[in-house]
Amino acid sequence: MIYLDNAATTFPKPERVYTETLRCMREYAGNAGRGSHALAVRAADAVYECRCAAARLFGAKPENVVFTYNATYALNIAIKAFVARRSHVLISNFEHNAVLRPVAALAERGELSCGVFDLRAPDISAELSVHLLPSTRAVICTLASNVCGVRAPMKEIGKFCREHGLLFIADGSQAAGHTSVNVNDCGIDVLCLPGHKGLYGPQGTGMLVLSHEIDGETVIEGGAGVNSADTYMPPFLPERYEAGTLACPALAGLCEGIGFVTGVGVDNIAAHENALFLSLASRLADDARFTVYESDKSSSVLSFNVVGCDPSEVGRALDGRGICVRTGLHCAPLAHKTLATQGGTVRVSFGAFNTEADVRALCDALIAEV
Amino acid sequence: MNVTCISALRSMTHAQKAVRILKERGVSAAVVSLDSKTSTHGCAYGVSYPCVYRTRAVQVLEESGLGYGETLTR
Repeated sequence: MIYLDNAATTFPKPERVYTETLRCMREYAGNAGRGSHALAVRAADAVYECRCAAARLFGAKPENVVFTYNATYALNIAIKAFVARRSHVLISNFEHNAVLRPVAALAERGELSCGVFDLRAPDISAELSVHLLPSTRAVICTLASNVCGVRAPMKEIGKFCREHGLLFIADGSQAAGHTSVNVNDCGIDVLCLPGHKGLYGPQGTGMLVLSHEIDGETVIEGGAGVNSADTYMPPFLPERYEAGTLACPALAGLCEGIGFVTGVGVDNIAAHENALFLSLASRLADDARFTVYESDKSSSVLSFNVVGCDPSEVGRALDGRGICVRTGLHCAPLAHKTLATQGGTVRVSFGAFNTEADVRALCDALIAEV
Repeated sequence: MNVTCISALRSMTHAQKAVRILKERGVSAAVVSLDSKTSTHGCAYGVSYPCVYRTRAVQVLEESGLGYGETLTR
């Protein structure tokens, strides 16, 4: 099998991720933060090590790393906890439903209004200024599109947010592990990301990384392991937003995934993936049977269509040849509206373990099928 | 007799951080749960270390922004 759907979740994981996840389950999966007996503390150690690894990668304090179950949970917390009610927010025209739907749900209830800016605008500050209202409180924006890899000029957006007193909530789902992101250098207040994509952790892991403490309401309440006599969540990070038992074995694996990424180097992984992207893009762009959609030249994600074919047909044909790609809207209808691809696309997304042979096999299969 | 000191902290996460920082500064420390008399909000955690290091430990915790509750002896 050739796996080319790494933007959905990376596969395979580094061997050390499998090893540590299973070792945790067998040897030390106590309930982290619940009690001080040996197994609970050993589990808490593992969770804290993962916090430290994520904090180092994104330039934050360990206690400002809040673990969730995926990026969608993280974005829901960020949007619902930190954005003031009855305010206005700006989102980009490439947002995933993980941003679009919580914003739309709040708008439906009259709790938020929203403007949409063009992520590809040549002058992003001017573009944001056009949509800025006196009631605007936040910019919520993907750092890289999951459809076509278009990148956000994150430092410019961060600078704009600082200058205008706006909260910058960044969706790092397709950026984490693919490009260097330092929350302080980029002016990001809250970075939301999954653990199971570019960080090579198990599914069921995600996080918010805050560059500083932010007052916010809680979205999910429950046991936090501390201040248990209170009827409200503790007022400090990270426990305030970590109700319920954490996925300790998955976080132990995620810590190893982050170790893999930092060991190989984010820039090296990005360069490897980008070389495969460029190879595929050049082969398809030269063939009139394919339409390749706009992307960032440093991307690892490529969307295309076969002229005259529905993307799902292409996906089924490739699946029949043992090649896994994603087809459809990729949960990002705004991006497809922007790209005028409302019928969807075929998406190829590379990971650290793909090779040039995978690109050749994909191209051979496509040519055989069309 | 070796007397143990316990500094109360806000959470398990802070206790984990405190243990690592104290160890980096040469103070052997461990996470402990606090008893009900000292944790008026319910479950709470702290770090234990030999009381001979009390002054240094309290200073390190305060410098690290982890200083929170009282320091007890056990």
